[in-house]
Amino acid sequence: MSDDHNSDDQDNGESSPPKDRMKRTLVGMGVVGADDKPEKPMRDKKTLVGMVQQKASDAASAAKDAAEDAADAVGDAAKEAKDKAGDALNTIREAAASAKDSAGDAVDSAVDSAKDAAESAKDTAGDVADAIKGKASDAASAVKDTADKLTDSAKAAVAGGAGAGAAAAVTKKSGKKSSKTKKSSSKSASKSSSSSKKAASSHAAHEATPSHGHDDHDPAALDSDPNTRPALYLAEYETPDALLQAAAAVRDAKYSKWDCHTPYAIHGMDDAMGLPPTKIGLISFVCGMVGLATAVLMIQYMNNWDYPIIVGGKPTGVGAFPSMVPIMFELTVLLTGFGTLGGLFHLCQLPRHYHPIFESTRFERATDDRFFLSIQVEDDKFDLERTQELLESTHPSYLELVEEKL
Amino acid sequence: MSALDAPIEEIGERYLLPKETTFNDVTEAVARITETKAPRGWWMLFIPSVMTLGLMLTCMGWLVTQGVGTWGNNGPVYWAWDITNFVWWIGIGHAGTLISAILFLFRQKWRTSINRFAEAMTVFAVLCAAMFPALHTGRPWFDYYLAPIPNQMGIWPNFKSPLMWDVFAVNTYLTISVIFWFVGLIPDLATLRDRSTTKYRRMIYGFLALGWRGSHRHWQHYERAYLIFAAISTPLVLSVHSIVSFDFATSVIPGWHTTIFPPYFVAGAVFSGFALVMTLMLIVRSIFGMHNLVTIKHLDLMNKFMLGTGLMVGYAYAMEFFVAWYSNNPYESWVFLHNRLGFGELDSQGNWGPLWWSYYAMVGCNVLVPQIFWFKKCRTSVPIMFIATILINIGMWFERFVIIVTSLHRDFLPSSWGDFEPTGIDIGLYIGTFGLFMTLFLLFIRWIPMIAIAEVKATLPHAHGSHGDDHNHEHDHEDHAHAASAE
Repeated sequence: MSDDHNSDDQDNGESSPPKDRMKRTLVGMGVVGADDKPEKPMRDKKTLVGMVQQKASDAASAAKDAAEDAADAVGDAAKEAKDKAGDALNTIREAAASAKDSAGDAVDSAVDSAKDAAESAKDTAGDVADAIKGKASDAASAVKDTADKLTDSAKAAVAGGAGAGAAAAVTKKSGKKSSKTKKSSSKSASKSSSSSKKAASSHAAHEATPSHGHDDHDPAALDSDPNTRPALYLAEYETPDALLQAAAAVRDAKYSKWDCHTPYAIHGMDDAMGLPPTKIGLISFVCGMVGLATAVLMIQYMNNWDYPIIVGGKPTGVGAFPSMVPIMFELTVLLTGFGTLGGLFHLCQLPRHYHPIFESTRFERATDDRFFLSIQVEDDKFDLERTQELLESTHPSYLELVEEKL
Repeated sequence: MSALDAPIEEIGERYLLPKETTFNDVTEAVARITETKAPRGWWMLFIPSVMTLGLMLTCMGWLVTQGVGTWGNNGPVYWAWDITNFVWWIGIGHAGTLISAILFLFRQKWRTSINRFAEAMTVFAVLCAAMFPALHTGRPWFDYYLAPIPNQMGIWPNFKSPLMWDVFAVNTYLTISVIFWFVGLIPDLATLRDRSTTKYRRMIYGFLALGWRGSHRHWQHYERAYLIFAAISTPLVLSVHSIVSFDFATSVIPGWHTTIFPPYFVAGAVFSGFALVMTLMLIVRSIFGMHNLVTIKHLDLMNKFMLGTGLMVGYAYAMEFFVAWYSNNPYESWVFLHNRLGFGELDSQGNWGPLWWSYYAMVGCNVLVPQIFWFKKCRTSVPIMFIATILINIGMWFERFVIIVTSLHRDFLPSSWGDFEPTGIDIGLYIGTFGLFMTLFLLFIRWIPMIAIAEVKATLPHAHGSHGDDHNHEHDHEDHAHAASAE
């Protein structure tokens, strides 16, 4: 919600080693709680309740935001607990207590705000409000659950001094669940929905089924910065060999929306990626034949049907075939060339001057001396954690979750 | 596939670049040229080139406003330096296509260091060439009569005319060369984009790179598209000079009416084109210090090519004489003996064919000079090959001059014989085209990667990974099969 902590994370992330960076990215997404201010939810609640009273549609998103704030507050509490647990043994007890307190506060405020939102929504639009109420209470219970777990983990921290890890594990888990929601939302939302984040999030809320249980956080809550969203995983390799092996692994894991990025065409990569043969030859051939037909028809029309040019008593129709051959050939070649260029652009979807992958500064080396593999969020099998595990198992020299600006 | 790409060490093949060359070395070596200040040598060439370009524009302006009478062309020599220059420049361009397309089809990996360079040369040479036929129509603003579009005269072009074929051939050639060149450039422009430090470089190269991101899904289509371009450019380049030769061969002028012309012209085109690639390459190599990318080995191979095509051209010259004798056509044999060799009786004006010396210049430069390339010492000595390539270029210009002017100025009837002398505009326009060519060329080497970065990287020893990994069983089997069949 606040821009300042996010930018801090990004700055730190540049210089940290891969794993650290990964964690920070997750922090940046809000999966792992960051050091936010506890009084935030209150402020946001007020403003959002104000918004809810304006329109029924706004009410839905306001309720959602409120729940999101609650989740944030929980995340903050977890972070706080985690930080304190990392300190000296003397302060661990206090840290746990304060974590408990703040978590409790957060839950209270979340429930309050959710209820407020639901009520005001009910006032303005009866049916919609009912639905929202359900969602809001779901959200509240989700928050409660998480808070309980956090409390447990804080206790664990007191006991074993390993609270930080446990808290991280819990928050990671909830992040994973939310990522599913996120995925469904990005699937259902139209591709051009980058401007309408609210639309995407309300989709997610409506799609959320009881089986998802407490997954009803607004997926946007994953992002600490509301202006970005995860676009793809980018793994970097030092050698073509490493990339070939990684590509085979990703191929075997049955991903579909992924790609390798290399400074030159590596032989054997078609097989390593399991790509079907290209169809560009077909396009070229068809265009070439169109060129041939154009030449024959053009010459026949111009020099035989429309205005026969009879020079030296030579024939103008089929008998003039030998004199037609050079231009038939040239036009075949010309249109084959156009077809190949057009086919190349069509199949590669070029020119495409923007792609989220360019958000990564590391990626600049893809045209120099590094080998990259990217897996897109749009992939059906994409999962923040499992995809990360898969990529880590291929030993990349660098792994990053690239975020796209909305 | 990969097994075939590796050099066969048993027969003395080696990797073209040192084993320790890294991918980054290649990027640095090529991209640096476009990013640093131009060396002094570049300015020393660029300033005279722009001035020569000015000369060309002046001559062109004079020609267009005054008419083709400012040329030395006069009956019966209606084609002279204009068409000579046209054929010469077109021929120069052919080496570029040959290097980029034909050598690609033959999997000649060494081409990667020179193909970009040669393709650029093709484009610029064809531009220079296309200017002459456009101007020699006399009223270039009516050149659209040549296009198959309706015009105010209500008639269509005559597609039975070889000159019309020429229009299509040259325009197709120019278009396809530009496309081929640009497609080859896309990955390298992306490299420059990613290296750029200033906003304008990033914008311009970014725009031109079309958002290329080295995606293998793109490389797959790209590689096939490249192969298709090579496959269509190969017959195209052969067709273009064949069609140019039809301009002559389909007429009845003694010295022109020969079926050997198409292959003879193509061989000559490749020969002269290689010579000009070499001349320019040697200059650029020393100005920009590209000795690591364009090695003596490359130059050695180029020289062998010139020796081969030089022999082909020599064979064609000999066959012309044989046919002139064997055909028993008095006009034909008269042209060759009297007009070209300068033998026989003096003509009515008391001299031999006044241009006989041009034939000796042609044979000396085109047949005798390349014979030095039988010796490895000459093939690997930069000064010797530099002089030789310049002589070959001169010789090839004379070849076209001999064919066009000496055949025309003494045809059937002595009463219609004439002479030819070039005017200042003729000479200025010809020299001026060097200005156009060199200006474009020097701008090219400053702003565009002059060596195909991506393609050179693919020829490095470690480019395609070690084999026998379990990343791909099928592929390995294929490799073994290839290896077995090769044994």
